[in-house]
Amino acid sequence: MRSTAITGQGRATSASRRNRAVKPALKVGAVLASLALVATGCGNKAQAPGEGSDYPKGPVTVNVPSEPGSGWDTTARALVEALQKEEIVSSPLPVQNKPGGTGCMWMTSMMQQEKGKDDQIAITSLASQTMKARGLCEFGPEDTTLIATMYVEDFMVVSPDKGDIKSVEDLVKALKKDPQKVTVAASGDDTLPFALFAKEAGVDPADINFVNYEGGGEQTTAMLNGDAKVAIAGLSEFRSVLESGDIKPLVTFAKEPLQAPYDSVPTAADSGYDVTLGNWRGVYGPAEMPQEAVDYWAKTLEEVSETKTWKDTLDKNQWAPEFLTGDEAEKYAKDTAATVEEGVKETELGNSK
Amino acid sequence: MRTLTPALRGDVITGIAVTLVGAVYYVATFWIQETKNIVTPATFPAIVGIALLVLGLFLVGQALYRSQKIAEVVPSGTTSAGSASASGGADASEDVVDVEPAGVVLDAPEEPKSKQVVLQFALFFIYLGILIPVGFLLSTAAFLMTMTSIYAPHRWVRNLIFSVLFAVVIYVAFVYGLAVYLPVGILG
Amino acid sequence: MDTLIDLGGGFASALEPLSLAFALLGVLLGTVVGVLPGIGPISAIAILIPVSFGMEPVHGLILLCGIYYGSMYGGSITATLIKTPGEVASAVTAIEGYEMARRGRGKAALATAAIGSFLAGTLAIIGLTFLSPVLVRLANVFGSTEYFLLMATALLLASTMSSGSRAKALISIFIGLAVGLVGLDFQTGLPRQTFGMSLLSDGIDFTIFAMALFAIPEAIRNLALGRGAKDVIQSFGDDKWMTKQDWQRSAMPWARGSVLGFIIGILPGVGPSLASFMSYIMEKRISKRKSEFGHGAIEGVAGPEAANNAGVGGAMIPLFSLGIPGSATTALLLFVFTMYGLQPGPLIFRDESGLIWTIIASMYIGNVALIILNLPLVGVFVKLLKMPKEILFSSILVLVAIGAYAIEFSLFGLMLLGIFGVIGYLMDKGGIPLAPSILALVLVPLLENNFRRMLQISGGSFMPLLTRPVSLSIIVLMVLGIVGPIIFRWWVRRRQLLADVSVA
Repeated sequence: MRSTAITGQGRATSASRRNRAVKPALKVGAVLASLALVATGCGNKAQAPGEGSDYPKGPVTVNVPSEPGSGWDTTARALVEALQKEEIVSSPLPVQNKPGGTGCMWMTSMMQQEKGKDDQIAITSLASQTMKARGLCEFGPEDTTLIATMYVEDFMVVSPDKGDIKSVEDLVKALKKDPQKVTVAASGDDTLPFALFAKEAGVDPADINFVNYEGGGEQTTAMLNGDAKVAIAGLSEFRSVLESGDIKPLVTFAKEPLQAPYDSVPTAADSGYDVTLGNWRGVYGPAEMPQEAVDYWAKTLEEVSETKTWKDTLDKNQWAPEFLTGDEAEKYAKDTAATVEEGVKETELGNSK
Repeated sequence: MRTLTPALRGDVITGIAVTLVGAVYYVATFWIQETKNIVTPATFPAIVGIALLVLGLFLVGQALYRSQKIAEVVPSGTTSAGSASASGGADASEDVVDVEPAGVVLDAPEEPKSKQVVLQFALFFIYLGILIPVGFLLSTAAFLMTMTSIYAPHRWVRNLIFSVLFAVVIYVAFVYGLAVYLPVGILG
Repeated sequence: MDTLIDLGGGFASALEPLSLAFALLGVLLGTVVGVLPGIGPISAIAILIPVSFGMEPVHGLILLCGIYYGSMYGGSITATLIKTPGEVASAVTAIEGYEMARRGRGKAALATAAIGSFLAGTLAIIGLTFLSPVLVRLANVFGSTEYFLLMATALLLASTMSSGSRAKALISIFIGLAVGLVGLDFQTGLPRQTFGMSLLSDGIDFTIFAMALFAIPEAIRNLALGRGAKDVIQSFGDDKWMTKQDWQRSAMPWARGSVLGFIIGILPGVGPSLASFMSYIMEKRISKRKSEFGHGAIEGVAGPEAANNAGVGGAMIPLFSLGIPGSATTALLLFVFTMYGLQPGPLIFRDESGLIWTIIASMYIGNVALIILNLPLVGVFVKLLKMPKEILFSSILVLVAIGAYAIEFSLFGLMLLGIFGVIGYLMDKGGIPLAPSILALVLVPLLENNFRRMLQISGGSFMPLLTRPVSLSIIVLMVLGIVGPIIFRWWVRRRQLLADVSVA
């Protein structure tokens, strides 16, 4: 009941990985940025949405379990920006970066040290589920007080315009012929949906030649310089090169066909490969968060999800709305967790010998 | 046993230390989970560990070899031994051509006594340790007072004013200017 | 011609009095914030992002560009004056800049840095304005094989950064690599070399490492010398402006640094930090005053500072054209641009020409504001060094501690700072140069990732190194670079011998 998960998306991982090389500076930045947000947050006067109770009494910290500039970070900042611009929350909402173990460090704190508190919320996504499935983190979003899912970024497989692979069929054919030759540029656990797809297509996921890149920019370069034959990532990672036509979409793992201009891109399910997985982002609270706070945030987030500011943000970033709270959010998280577990088993992501 | 010049003895100690670090680093790679990637997560760390180990041993060997050469040369009365041992930092024999002409070293910095260095580091570590529990203001003022008074005890009034003022100004700048919250510690 | 008209439009919106005021304000804020250790350009921008969102896009962007330039220069100030680099690029400045300051040449060092940054920044923006479409192709010939080679070359060259034992320089590099490998493996997400400490899983922060290696040993040594000892720093504060000779010696490094920085900056992921290191190495190699390097050679400040700023301009090319951030800072800028509704990509110059030209115009203006504001202030900054030594150096220790705290917010981070301070002191005492470690720490992810990608793509074969034209060219150049000087030296020596003989 208490959880609503916002759908986030897979970019968090890639972004947080991307930042590893440059992390130090970013980290400071994040901290500072979050702190600065505190300052701006104070100015808001709006009332809490129609609640009789006086929650929240003070500032509520919006925790980002990764560095500034990462996917989780931008989600948090965009969210806080919308909450304040639309004057939905009157309390200050400091954004604080708590990087560590791909979000695990902070999630563990939320399960233990912050247990029962009502002034902490945090951003999570599919990446945290992968961490748990791989046994790298004790907890996943489904164990916390999931408040809401906010949006999904759909995975998309793309190939360079000048390459040989022009369609899903080409891709499957090439994979069957010699998987070693079909280098797949992927960032972190973005490999999961592709592995499941390969399995559906009758190719052993263990044979797929995944090459690791830090996000869409690098993946694009790798495709353009010939290092990679195809790439998989969240749609927004490729948006600009898709528009320019240098890169062509092959297939998505979305539930339903995407919005224009990508409405003609087949979904995996429609093409006969039963894989549906999106990188969702959500908001969670500490374990045993007081019901009052959970209700408040579910309601507040629902309200913000309907505002123009938030919708614009989703639009700008090509994020698909996927707003769920309460039981629905929990079910959503459980379903994706199951898919992730299966994918992890198939790919044996890093755990194998 | 031949005796080593101070510079060469320094190299032997440095070499041994580097070798040990390399060995520990290499051993630590055994705990990295194996994967079936072509290059595993352990490959680079292992290379680095072994490289440090080898370089450390090389440094030791080089120093011993040189001291032997000095030992052979000195009796014959040449002065080259002096230049070879003049500075531990300049023993880049493989690059002799690049060795700069002497005389540019305007100021070989005077080396402080080890006891003093250990003391200063100890004080710094104490400061780092108490910074969070005691809080920024108190620990910083105390640290600055200690450091400046070791150096210039007779100017304790100035030291005190400086220590307190500096701590307060920095605190205000960070907390109110940048919203970076420094630890308040026992004052909170 | 269209380009010029568009740029003119950009300037029109960037040149109103209010915009100029924001540019100056940005530079001022940036410089002030950038002077604080542990707080580089990125933090400065991040702090002010929310502020800028409340403004007109034009003003917000101008403010951020000003902050960016200001904070980069702020980092050079601390690197020069107190050997405390706040970010990667200024780590290089700390080498010669601080040596200059010790010799009473702080003003000249800061001036050459400011002027070099300005010139290079301006050249790079001009390059960005006119060469973007051509140069962006460069990014496409560089695959993982070439990147790996480039990084390996850079590290090899780094072993020549310091004078003295090559073996010790290599040890320094491997120490940097060792530190850089600590944390979660990028490819598999598995923890490495963390010795079971989960706190180490995020790796060791560059700023902490650089501050610990550079600032702490210097401060401790000076404090430990005590009052009785003769001051190590002979002439801090007693300062002259750039002399005619300084100008002459700076001119070529500025030019070379600008070109080198711009080109290296274009390569995504490599960015300005490598540019400044490479410029230093290049200046040292070609200098007739090699012996002065490490003892306050002005070329070692002028070149890298120019390269750094030119690199920033270069990094804007993949950012604008491909949406690929080349560094932490550009990653943050990318986020800012997106929030302003700008979608970087190949079509940006066509679809978003209004905003993009405004951004480029703001970069020009930020650059001008930087020099207008900072050149007159150089003398003020240098005065700081007139403080009594015990006060100066104990304050530095406090500042680096705050810097570390503002990065990790934990006792663990503070202890890391202290421990690396000890390591830095010991390395220095053992004659192991410090700067190569720092470069290695920065480059290790690029080196390792591209090595692994190369072999993953080729199925474990090293052949791409020889079969790819660009890669092969790099190898040939490397071989020439190693064999060439040997032959040259032999030739010089032979000629000398002949000359001696003929004199005799």
